[in-house]
Amino acid sequence: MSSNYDVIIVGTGFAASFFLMRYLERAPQQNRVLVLERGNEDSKAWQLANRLHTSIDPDDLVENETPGKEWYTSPGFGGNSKCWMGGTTRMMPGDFKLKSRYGQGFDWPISYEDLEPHYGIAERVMLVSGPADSPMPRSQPAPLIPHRFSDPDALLKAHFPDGWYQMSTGRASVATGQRGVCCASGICGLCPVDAKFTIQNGLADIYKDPRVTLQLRSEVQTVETAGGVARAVNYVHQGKEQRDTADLIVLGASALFNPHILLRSGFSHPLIGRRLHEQMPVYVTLDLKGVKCYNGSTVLTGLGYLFYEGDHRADHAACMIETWSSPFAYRSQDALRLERGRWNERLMLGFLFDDIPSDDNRVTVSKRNPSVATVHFNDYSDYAKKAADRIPKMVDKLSEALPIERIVGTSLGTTAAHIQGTVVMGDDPATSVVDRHLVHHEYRNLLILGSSAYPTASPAYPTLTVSALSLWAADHLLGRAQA
Amino acid sequence: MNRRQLLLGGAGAFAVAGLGLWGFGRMGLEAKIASILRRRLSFLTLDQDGVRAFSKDQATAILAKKIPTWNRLRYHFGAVGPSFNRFYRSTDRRSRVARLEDTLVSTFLLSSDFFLNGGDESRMVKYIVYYDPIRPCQNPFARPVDA
Repeated sequence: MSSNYDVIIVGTGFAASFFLMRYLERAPQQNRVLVLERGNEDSKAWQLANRLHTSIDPDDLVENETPGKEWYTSPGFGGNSKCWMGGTTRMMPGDFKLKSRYGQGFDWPISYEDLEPHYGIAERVMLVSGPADSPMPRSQPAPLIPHRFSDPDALLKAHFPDGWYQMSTGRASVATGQRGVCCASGICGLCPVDAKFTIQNGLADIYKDPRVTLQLRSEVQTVETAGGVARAVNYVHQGKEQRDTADLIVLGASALFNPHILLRSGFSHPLIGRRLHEQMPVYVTLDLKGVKCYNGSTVLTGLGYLFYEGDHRADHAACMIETWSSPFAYRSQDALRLERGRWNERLMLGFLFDDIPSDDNRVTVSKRNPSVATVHFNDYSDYAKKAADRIPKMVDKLSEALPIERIVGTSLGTTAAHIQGTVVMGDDPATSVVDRHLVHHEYRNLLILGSSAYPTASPAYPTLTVSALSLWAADHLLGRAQA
Repeated sequence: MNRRQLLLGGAGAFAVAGLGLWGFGRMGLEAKIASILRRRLSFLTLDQDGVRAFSKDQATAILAKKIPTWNRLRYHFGAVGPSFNRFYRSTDRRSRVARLEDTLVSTFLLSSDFFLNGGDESRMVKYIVYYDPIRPCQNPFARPVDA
C-alpha cells in the first residue's frame, strides 16, 4: 500500500542530514517526512567490534571498471560520515570562478559569498576545530580551538605566515560533551575514541523527530515522474517492492548513487552520471634533519595554501598541502625512520590538486545487475597532472622552511576518498542538471543534494561544502515556500 | 586394503602432510620475522623472548587475515594490470621488500616499550603487546592541544 508524505529523502549522510535538520527547524509540526536508507544502522560499538564501518560490502554496490582507481563509500545510517577523516576546509573564492577568472573548467553558479553564512552554520553543527586566522574571508571563527601543530608545521607557519594554517577539522580538539577528543590514533575510518563528527554522534536526534520516519534497508530504485513533477519513489524494503508518494522528493545518496537512481528512472539529460571527479592526491615522504614529526594533536595537523590561489590556475591546477601526523603506515607509507635517534624525523605530506572534470569519467547502471552502479574513470586531466609535475619545485619552496635531507618517495594515491560531479549544477539547463539551489531544472519538486552537484573539484575537502549546500538549498526552498 | 581404508589412509596422510607444511611454514615465518628485527635493529638491545613473542603474534596476525571477498580479489587482480600502473605511480626507490620490512620493524617498535622510555637506545627494548591502532591513543609522539 502506498503512503503519501510531504517529503521523501533518500540517504542519511551529510547532504541528506543537513537538509533534514534545516527542514525540521522550519517545517510545520504536522508535516511527515520519510527517510529511506539503503543500509543498516551500524552502531559505533558494532563498527569497532567488527573493524568495519559498514555491514554492507561497498564492493557489492559498485562495479568498478577501472579498479586501480578506488572510490570509498560507506552504506548505512550516517553514510560516509562513518568513514570520513573529518577534514572540513572551505573552498576558496576562486574555486567558484575557475572559468571566468582563469579560463579553465567550469564556474559554479554560486559564489563563496553565497555560501559563507552556511559554512558557518555547518561548522557550528560539526563543532569544527580551526585556526583563528584563515586563508579565506570568514564572518565568524571556528567554534573549537585549533589542534596543535606538529613541529614541521610550526616551522612552515613561521616562514609562511600567510601560507600555512592549522587544520580545519571535525575531529574535536577539546571536550565537547558530544564526542571524544582526538588523540591522533591515525585510524579515522574507525576512530576508536569517536572524536570526529558523524551523523550518529552529532545529528542522530533529528531522526527521532516525530515527523520523521526512518526506514532502513530500503533500496531506492526509481523516482517516478508525471506531468512535469516528481510523484513517487519506488524502492525495495526487505525484499518487498514499495511505492510512496510525496510533494517533495530529495535525493541525497552520494555522487555515485544520485545519478544511478536518476538513470534507472529514465532521466535522460546527457550529463547525468558524467563528470565524475575528485582531487588528484599525491603523497610525498620527506626525511628531515633534526625536526621531529608526528607530534601534533591530530592525524592531519597543517594545511598549506602556498600553491592554491593565483594566476598559475590559468595554466595548471591549484594545490592544497596537508601534513600527516600519524606514525604508522597510513596510505601504505611506512612512517618511522629506522635510524638511530631519528625515528620521527620523517614527514609525510599530501598534495591535493583540483581536477578538470571530463565527460568520459562517469557512473552508469550496471548491465549485469541494475542495483549496482558501474563506475568508469579514464584518467585525471592534463591540468591536474601538469601541476603534479611541479611537486619537486614545491618541495624546493618548502625547503626554505624545512631542513629537508631527501625525498624518500612520491606516490599517486589510488583515491582521495572523495566522489564529486555526476549531476552538475548550473544556470543553463542545457549544460547542467540542477540549478543553483540544487533543484532539478525540469522537475521543480525534485532536489538532488550533495557533491554530485559539483561542477569542479577544488583542492579543498568536499564535506563542509556538501553540508553548506544542503543548508543553502533548504533555506531557498523553505523561503520560497513561505513566500 | 580396501577402498575405504585406502581413502582414509590417503586423507590422513594428506592431513599430516598439510599440518606439517603449515607448522613448518609458520615456524619459518616466525623465524624470518625475528631475523628481520635482529638485522634491522642491530644497534638496539632487544629482549629475545620479546622478539620471539612478537614474531609469533605477527605471524598470527598475518595468517589471520580474512580471505578477501571476490570483489576484493577482483580489485587486487585488476591492480596488477595496466589500470593500476596508470593510477599508482611511485618514485620510491626502496624495494617493495624493504618497505615491508620497514613496516614490520615499525610495528615492533610501536608494540614495545621503546617509545614509552623516550626512545632511549641504551635500554633493552621489551615487547609489550601487539600494536593495534584501534586501541585508543597509541600514537607515541602525539601531544595534546595547548588549551
